[in-house]
Amino acid sequence: MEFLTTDKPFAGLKKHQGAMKMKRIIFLVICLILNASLAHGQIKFDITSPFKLWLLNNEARAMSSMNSDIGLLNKLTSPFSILPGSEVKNARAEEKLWNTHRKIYAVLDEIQQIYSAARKYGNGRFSILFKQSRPEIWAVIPLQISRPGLVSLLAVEYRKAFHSTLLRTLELDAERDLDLPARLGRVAKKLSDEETRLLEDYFSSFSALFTTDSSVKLLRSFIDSGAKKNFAPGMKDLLKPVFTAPVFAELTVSQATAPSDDPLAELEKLAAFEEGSVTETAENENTETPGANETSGTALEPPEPGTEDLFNIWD
Amino acid sequence: MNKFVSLLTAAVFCMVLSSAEALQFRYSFQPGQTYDYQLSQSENSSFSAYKMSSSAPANTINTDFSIRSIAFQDGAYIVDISSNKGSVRRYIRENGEIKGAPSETGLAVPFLITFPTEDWKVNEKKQIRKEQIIGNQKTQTAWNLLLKSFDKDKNIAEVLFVLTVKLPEDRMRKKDVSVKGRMLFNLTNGIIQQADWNSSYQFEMINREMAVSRPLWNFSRQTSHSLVLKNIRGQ
Repeated sequence: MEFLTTDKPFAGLKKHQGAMKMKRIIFLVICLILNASLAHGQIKFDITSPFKLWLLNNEARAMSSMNSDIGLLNKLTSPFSILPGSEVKNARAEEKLWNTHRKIYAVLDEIQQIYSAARKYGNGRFSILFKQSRPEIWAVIPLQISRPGLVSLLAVEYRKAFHSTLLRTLELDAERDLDLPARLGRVAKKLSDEETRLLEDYFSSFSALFTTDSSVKLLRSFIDSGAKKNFAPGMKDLLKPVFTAPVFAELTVSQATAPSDDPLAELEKLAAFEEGSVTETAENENTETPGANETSGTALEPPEPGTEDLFNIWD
Repeated sequence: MNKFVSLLTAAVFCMVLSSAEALQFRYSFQPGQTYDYQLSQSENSSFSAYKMSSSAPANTINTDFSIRSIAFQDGAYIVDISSNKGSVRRYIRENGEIKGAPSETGLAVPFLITFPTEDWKVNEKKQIRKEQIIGNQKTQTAWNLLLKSFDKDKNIAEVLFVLTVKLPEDRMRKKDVSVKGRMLFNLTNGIIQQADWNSSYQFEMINREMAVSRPLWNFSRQTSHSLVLKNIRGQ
């Protein structure tokens, strides 16, 4: 009954609650930072919304005005009580203009997608970060411990699946986004010459009306010159990396779970095992069986020029 | 004596003048008779946006309809107006105003031209006013009528009519509307012999920011109507 008279067990409980509270606070702070960075990212790369909203609002004003005016006109152009109801369906020439605007909105949305993808991933840094961290390897290490050999059998397919899921999450398509300048050129051609001239006139009017807004200037220059330049060289590396089979056969439980102060230590070990298989440069799938590329050598040296090294961390 | 003769002459002169010019316009549908009309309606519209412009093809429809007079009750003619779309019964007063059927409510009636009840002389103007509600705004509309001429032999009067209306505008939206027409009214039969009228609608959309103004779009719409009495049956 001693515990009823002392608060020692409650002290432990209080410490646990305090730790939980601290974790919740940290988690919340991380979420807020991520949210802020995401939101900031969305505003930062947005070059089409100001113009699009301006055109949409003008369209809405014109549509509502015309609809109410035509309703009134129909009442005013039947001046005699002996007339039957009007059978003429209102001719709507302006429908062609609204259809043109819908095409413009679709084109602007796609241009925005291309621009955002180029800004986020075009310099290749995201791809390098993924290569360096290799989450698809770390994620399966516990599985490798419990089922040694299984991961080696499925490694290539698992990596491909992880990569395709990653692309879907990032809303990228390996075929569509491989060449962003070409994609931009195709998008620009979706408008006819007449529609393109109209869009240019809209851009000029918008720039004249809102002189402090630079989004349209950026948009215009992106459309005009983007298709002629390779503005996203890093996309290829992200969208179509080379898949090689890692060799896990040499890993033992003690090696997999040994704590290390050097975050690159594990990578160095894996790099040493794969030295013999890193010369593969084709885009075709590599279906080597596990254990076939046993290599020796533990020194971490830069690869020879011309070879593609998945663990290239020197660039 | 001379004074008496001159007064008499003046009185006779005035009587002749007033009787020749003063006309009374009233519908006079004879019960049992059917009046066959043809109505031609045509509409076209167009727009321009900077260098882009387009127009919808003119849409013309000819409608044959008949007015069968049934009875005259409580100051209104009971008529059936039949076309290929069906029949509708109307209660029309002598001045052209639509009166609802007994216990009929909620009529959505266009802005009609109604004839003046008093005598109408040639070259005399008349105006019919009505307040229209457009959205949440009220605007005054008016039919301006002119008795242009009168053919004594055929007993047919020519009336010109013009609509006056001001659509709601602001600094971004400029509008112009006009409706003009001509009607030939047969005073013997008390019916419209022929009528032609055209309407025009122009709408300009402009953007203004500070001291900068940029036109955006121009929309226009024209309609033309022609009403002709073809036959009177049941005379």
